[in-house]
Amino acid sequence: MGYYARDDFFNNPAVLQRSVEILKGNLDLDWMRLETERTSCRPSNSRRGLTFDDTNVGSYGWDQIPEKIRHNYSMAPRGAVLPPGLPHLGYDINRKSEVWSENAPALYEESKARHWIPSREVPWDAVEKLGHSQEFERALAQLYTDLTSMATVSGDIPSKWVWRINQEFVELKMWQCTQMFEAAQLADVFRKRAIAGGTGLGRDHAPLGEFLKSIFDSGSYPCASVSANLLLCGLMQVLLRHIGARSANAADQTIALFGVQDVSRSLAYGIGHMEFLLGTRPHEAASLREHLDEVENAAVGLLAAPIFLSSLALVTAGSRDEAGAAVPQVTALYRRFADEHAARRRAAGIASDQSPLEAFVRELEA
Amino acid sequence: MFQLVMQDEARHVSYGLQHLKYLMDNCPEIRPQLNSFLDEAERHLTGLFNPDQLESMIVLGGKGTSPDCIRRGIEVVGAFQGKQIEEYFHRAERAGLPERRDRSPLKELRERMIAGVAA
Repeated sequence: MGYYARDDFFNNPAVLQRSVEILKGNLDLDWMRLETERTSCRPSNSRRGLTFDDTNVGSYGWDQIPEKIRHNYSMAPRGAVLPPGLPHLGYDINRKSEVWSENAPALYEESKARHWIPSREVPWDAVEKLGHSQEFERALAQLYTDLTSMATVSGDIPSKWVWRINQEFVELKMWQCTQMFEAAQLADVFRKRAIAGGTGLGRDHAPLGEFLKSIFDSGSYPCASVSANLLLCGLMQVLLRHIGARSANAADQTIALFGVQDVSRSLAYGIGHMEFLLGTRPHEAASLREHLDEVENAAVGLLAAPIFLSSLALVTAGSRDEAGAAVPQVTALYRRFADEHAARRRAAGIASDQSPLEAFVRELEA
Repeated sequence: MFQLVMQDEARHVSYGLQHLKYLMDNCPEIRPQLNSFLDEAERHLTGLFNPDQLESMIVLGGKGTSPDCIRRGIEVVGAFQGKQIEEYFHRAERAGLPERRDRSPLKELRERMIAGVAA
């Protein structure tokens, strides 16, 4: 046990005495006489119900959160009365710009509203008649195996940071919880799809591990956010779109549709987070740019890995015999990924003229 | 709302119980460590007796602040606390820690409380 409460309540006669007095009917009721802000919140859209946006009022809303939290390190909900003696919960991320994005509350609501259920909403019957060759299925299973690891790490990252973030940023923390839930769901559906197809899971490989570890071990939350939400989710989005376009199977198309929808929210948060951070602290751009370049370097290792490249080529071509001829199409896919990623970097304010991803794709094209 | 929350919380309790049971079946040497942790953690369960929480539960239980409501609320909360502690011991038993019933400070705390009220 790492923490012992400052008061030994069990052996404090005053604690027992007060409780006994209450149970004898001598209530004080001073908690009823609080001067907290009184508001009235109603759903602005009855179809959506009462959303975070509807409760963004006065001291309960996020508009009034200061850049630096100095007044509350406890677990008290924002806007509650803070009596003296509340314990410090050890939060060490206490700056709004470090975590915030203006779209986080809306993304949380959207995530809940568009919740889907992999076990029921994917037409699993379609997997019984794949409609493609065994080798195509083997390549798909390899990509789904990689996607399972990617999704798992995309959930591990918010969970690694959320408990360190001050409770005042409640909407942001809730959004991170939906990211974790969605990541679990994606890892679940990718894994099930690989197994259900009959060939089973594929092989794990070091380049993927290096890429994911370089994201997971980012030294700060902004670095983790930019590499996970922009780069990793960007790659997942490209892969899912490609699988959805190349596989004629209804299960794959459904997985791709829902998967793209989910990872797109993380991309939107990632850009919003960077905009907010750099709008407040523009000098952070240099270190974020450098970090993202470094993680891109690890991404190049994955994109160039024979196991990844060849399974992607096979899925692109449709058969093993034609896979070799599909390299230009895979290069075109990588070009799209590099361009989209570069556009996001620009939008986020961390464009780089030394992007390893861009250099790698140019080399492939040459 | 409470119905839905109970449904969600029940899954956590079910996981916790099964996890603890698996741990006790496969790693029985951890028993003394778990017991000393629970000896300390249960002492912190002052939420059960925290004045603000206790009073608000009484007001809710009795549906008001009149003397009659307070009296009814105290009965409801007393029964609730007894049930809460009993259910906790029952779960600990099912998870493989039947000794909690005898060594838990909660039992003594409740006995002290009842004696205090009766005095």
